[in-house]
Amino acid sequence: NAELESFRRQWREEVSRRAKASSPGLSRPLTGQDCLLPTNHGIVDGQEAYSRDTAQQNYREFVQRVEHLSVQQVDEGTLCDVPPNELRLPHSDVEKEKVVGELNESLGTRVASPSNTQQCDALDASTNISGNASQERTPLSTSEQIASFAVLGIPKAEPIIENTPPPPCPIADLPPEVLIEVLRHVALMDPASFCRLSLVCKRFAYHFTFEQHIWKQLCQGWRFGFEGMLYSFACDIAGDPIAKSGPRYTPFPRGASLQIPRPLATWSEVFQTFPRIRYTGIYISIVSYARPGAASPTKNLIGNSPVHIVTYYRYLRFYSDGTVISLLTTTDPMTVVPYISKENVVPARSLLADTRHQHQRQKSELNGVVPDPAASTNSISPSAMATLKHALRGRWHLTCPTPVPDGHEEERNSLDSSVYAGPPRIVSDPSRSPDPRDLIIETEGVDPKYNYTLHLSLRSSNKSRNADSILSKNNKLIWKGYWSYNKLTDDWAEFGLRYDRSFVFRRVRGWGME
Amino acid sequence: MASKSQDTTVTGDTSKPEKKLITLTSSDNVDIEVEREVLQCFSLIKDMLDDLGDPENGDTIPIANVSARVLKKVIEWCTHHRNDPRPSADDKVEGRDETTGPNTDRKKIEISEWDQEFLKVDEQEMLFEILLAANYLDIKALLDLCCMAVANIVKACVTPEKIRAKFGIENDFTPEEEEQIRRENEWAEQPE
Repeated sequence: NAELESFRRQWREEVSRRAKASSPGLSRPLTGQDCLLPTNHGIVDGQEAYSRDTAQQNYREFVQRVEHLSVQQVDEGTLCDVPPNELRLPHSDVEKEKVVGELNESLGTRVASPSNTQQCDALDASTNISGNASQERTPLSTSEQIASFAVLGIPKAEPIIENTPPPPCPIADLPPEVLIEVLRHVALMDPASFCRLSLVCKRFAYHFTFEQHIWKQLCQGWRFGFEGMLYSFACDIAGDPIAKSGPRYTPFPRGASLQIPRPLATWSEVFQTFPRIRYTGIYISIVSYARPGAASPTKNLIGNSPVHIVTYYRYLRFYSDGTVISLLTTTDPMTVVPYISKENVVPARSLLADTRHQHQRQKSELNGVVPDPAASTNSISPSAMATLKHALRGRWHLTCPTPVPDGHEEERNSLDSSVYAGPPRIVSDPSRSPDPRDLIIETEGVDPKYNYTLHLSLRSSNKSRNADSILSKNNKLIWKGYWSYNKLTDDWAEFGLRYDRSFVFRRVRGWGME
Repeated sequence: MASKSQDTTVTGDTSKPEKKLITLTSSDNVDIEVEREVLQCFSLIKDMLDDLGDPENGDTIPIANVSARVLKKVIEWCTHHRNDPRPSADDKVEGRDETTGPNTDRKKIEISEWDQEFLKVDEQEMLFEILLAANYLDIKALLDLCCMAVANIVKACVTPEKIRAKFGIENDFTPEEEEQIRRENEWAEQPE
């Protein structure tokens, strides 16, 4: 059987080689003319079938950027002429065509060197198709397909009622450079809108993938990009800025010639995967645990000892000035999240101070006091206000991804000092190379004599809703450590992480857009 | 008030240089008189005038690609903004929104009230015509403004379908392709 198998394989290789040789159109570069051919469903269907057959791992690499594909998937030796990671995205049309040509070839070799029977089957399908209809091609990868959209126009909508003028579509008449300028503005205003545009029509999808200068600009930007990231504390815990003389460290400074950090290959990948905190929403950690309740007085009911499900939430909202709001509460997101902001925390806390003051005078307990609703700021619901008064102010920074370069002495010192001031476990291992995904947060304690230190790390969620999807990156914060620091006695104490679930990012409309 | 324009007024004009009028002819053959100073916004025309000197009496400058209706709008905008600080040489085209410091690019995204009123045009075509005219006449600030206005329209649409409807675009994806692109680009759409 194994013999038969290997024979089959050889035979197919043979067939495919001949098929390729006899029909040069198979690996012909995509030219403008090609793109004008009707999009044949055979391609898409073939690819669909292919993707269903292959394991998920393979599929993900398949749909990812082509350079990964050629580096990892192609058998060694078949692609020596294409150095790994060197498939830059095309800039000029000539280059574009050349690269697309190479891609086609590499895809051809890839399909022609099957490593398992499933790929054989896919090959079967594709050779059969190309045998029957000469204009059919091997299945295109997603990025090749997108590259083929380059020369397409923006399709104008049909008239809603027959024989009436169609709805105006002035955007279709923009020259390319002006269209790209419009897209650049969309991206810099809101990257999510840019993504939505990529789903509007093929032409936009092309620009979304191939206008890498827009992504570079986003990466370098302040509002969404890495210029807005902080790699050392920028303020004290109360939010007062720390005066700094030198320029702030940023991984992708403007005006310098920049290298895309390996193993990433494109600026859109950098924007996607390089550790980045988002200001456009809130990070929420939801913890539920069961607590046995008191025995029920109605003993006849089944299960006479009730169980309470307790759910509490941790909220983190980051600001680009280095501050962060940390809130631990049982109040659900719908009630409180829209109001979590520095502007609201200040009056809420002054309420707390008032009540504390009052109650100190009255020598009564602070706990469970609900402030007078009339006293709360008008537009905010009293329950949100009551929750917000427990919000803790804090500060944050990411771990510097590279050793701090020269000329950032102060930065280095402050990094050192912040590490030195950290809890024992963070300090104990200086030899360990820094993980750029790590995030340090310091907040006030519930009691003024404490400070809390949170050690978190950025991860990507692995939601299983759609197994094939490329996952949203850097939208999760996992716990690495949690300490309290007693300022009076200079003691560190560690909190257990037993109930601490990861934070997951949720966008909140309007945040980070002002 | 016209101090910055006087040094570029080329010919030795003795009478009130700030009121000097220059006539433009639109693509539909309408003559429009513009103050010389306002034309400083039109980088295309400004460069031409700087190189060739002001036109002789009676000569007009043809603006081949812009209709009178649009040209009037553009002049209206330039007249209102004629005292704005000119973009200096180091204010690069690239990254106007984001290259400036942390505190300034926060403000850049806002459109002034006057500009918002100015852009309240009846049809989308008008907005795009102004955009094209700004591009042709090389008026960077107006081009940016129009791009931002379009970007705002895009931002207000919460689904690709709404964007298509808003701009009169037909969907040219097959359902399979659309799904594929969606999967490919999903990461950029932060979960709502």
